[in-house]
Amino acid sequence: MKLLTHNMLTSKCLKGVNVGYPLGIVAKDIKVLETEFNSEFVLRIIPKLDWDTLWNAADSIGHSGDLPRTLCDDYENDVEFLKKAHHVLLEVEVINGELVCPESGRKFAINKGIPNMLLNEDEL
Amino acid sequence: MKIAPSLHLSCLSIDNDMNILKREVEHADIRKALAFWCEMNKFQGIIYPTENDYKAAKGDEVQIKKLAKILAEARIRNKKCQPDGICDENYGKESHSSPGDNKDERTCYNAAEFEAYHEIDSRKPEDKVLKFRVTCIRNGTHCFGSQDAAYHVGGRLQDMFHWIVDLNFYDLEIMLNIREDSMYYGMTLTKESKHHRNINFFGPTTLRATICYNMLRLGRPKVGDIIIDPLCGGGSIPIEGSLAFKNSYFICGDIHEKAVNRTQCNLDHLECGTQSYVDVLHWDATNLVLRDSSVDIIVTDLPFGKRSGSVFDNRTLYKQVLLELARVVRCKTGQAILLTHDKRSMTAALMFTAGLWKLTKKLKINIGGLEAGVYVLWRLKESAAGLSAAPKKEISQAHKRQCSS
Repeated sequence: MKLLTHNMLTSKCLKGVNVGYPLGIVAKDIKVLETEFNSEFVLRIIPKLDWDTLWNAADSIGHSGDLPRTLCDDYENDVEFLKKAHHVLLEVEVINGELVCPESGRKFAINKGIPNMLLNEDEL
Repeated sequence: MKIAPSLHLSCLSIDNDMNILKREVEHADIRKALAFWCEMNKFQGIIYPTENDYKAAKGDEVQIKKLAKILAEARIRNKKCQPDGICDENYGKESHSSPGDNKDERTCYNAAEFEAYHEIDSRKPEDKVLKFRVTCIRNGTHCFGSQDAAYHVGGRLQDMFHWIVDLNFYDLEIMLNIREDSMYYGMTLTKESKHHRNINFFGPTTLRATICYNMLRLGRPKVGDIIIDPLCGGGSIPIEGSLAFKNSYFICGDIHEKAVNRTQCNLDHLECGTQSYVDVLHWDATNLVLRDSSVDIIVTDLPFGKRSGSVFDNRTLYKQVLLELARVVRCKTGQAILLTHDKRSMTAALMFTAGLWKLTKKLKINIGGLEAGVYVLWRLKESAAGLSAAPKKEISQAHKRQCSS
């Protein structure tokens, strides 16, 4: 699971959970895979993200590096920044670990990079 | 490629219909298409031979083929005489059935003949005359067969251009695709269909890559779009998408553990670069764990209720899926491209979710003889939050009623 995906995940569908966002990450195994930097993609994707969540997620698995905590206004022209964002969004992947619902504490296991988000019937 | 929309085939006399087809092909701009084809395939031989060229080349061809046949037969006989030590006994027993009937043997022979042909053929590529065949795919009721159409059209083209007819070792293949009263025809640019590209692990209902591509194209992905496939199966759609639309991000998932693993295996076979733009989750499409209004495009292949799922289950499943998709997709700009064969359930689900989705396009497609439909839906303005809560209860009640009855 990549952090870009994590940015969109919520446990709202659990019974009794209202927001369920952001999910906590407990990472046991992390893989870093280098990929070609695509500035246009990163530029377009940043407005769709929740930056705080991304930063906290990156920080919790020790990959925040020197990523700024808040988005500055003219990030569009800052290539260095975009490269850092690209790294955090697409290159860092959680292979084994857990996602934790912030409200109920329900844990979702991540195995071989695939989070298991299936719910039991009594949780709906 | 050219499309002839309405041929007015009589369906009464073969001669009449064949003449219609021939006339259609005669008027096509074959020279222009051929120039492009030569460029693509790097064909260096003679494209427009004279009749004398043809006669000479045909003679050579017959000679070479005769020799190739003898050589191939001799080689195969030799191979049989020297039994392979590695070959296990079971295999040996199996191949005792009469020669020629066995499929493996025939392909083996064809391969040997092909090899021999190229060994014996000493002509320079510039001296060769173009060899061609015509293949016909036909759909609907006609008074002629596919082979008749291929035969007659091929004959007419041969009269016009003096190419050599060769059904096995051809350079150029002309495809006729006749569907009811319409036909489209063109030259094949690849020797085989590309519909199973990129996928290594096939499931029971793996969708053709060509259909995946066209479904994605209907969504017109833009840079930075987030595209999901909530019922991904083996991941054909996200894989095709990540290769063809490099500027989008794909999230896919399935409820079945095997399907999720298959997707991951298929992804592992891709280059690392494309893998970074796809993520796989194990989820339930009726309870997506995504935030409200976070997805740009949904492209998915719903269970047809034939090989996967059942029509009975589809009735509630489609409604639940459409509601959930309406929640996660962006209002106003979001769209969903859905493929299904179970049109009745789809229509019911669309009625049920009226006000959330607007049907903008409905395409009929033929998947291995099944008449399926592709639905292009646009998300309407209303927010999903209020709407989705109420009908959900309704659904569960309806579901319970169905189960109890």
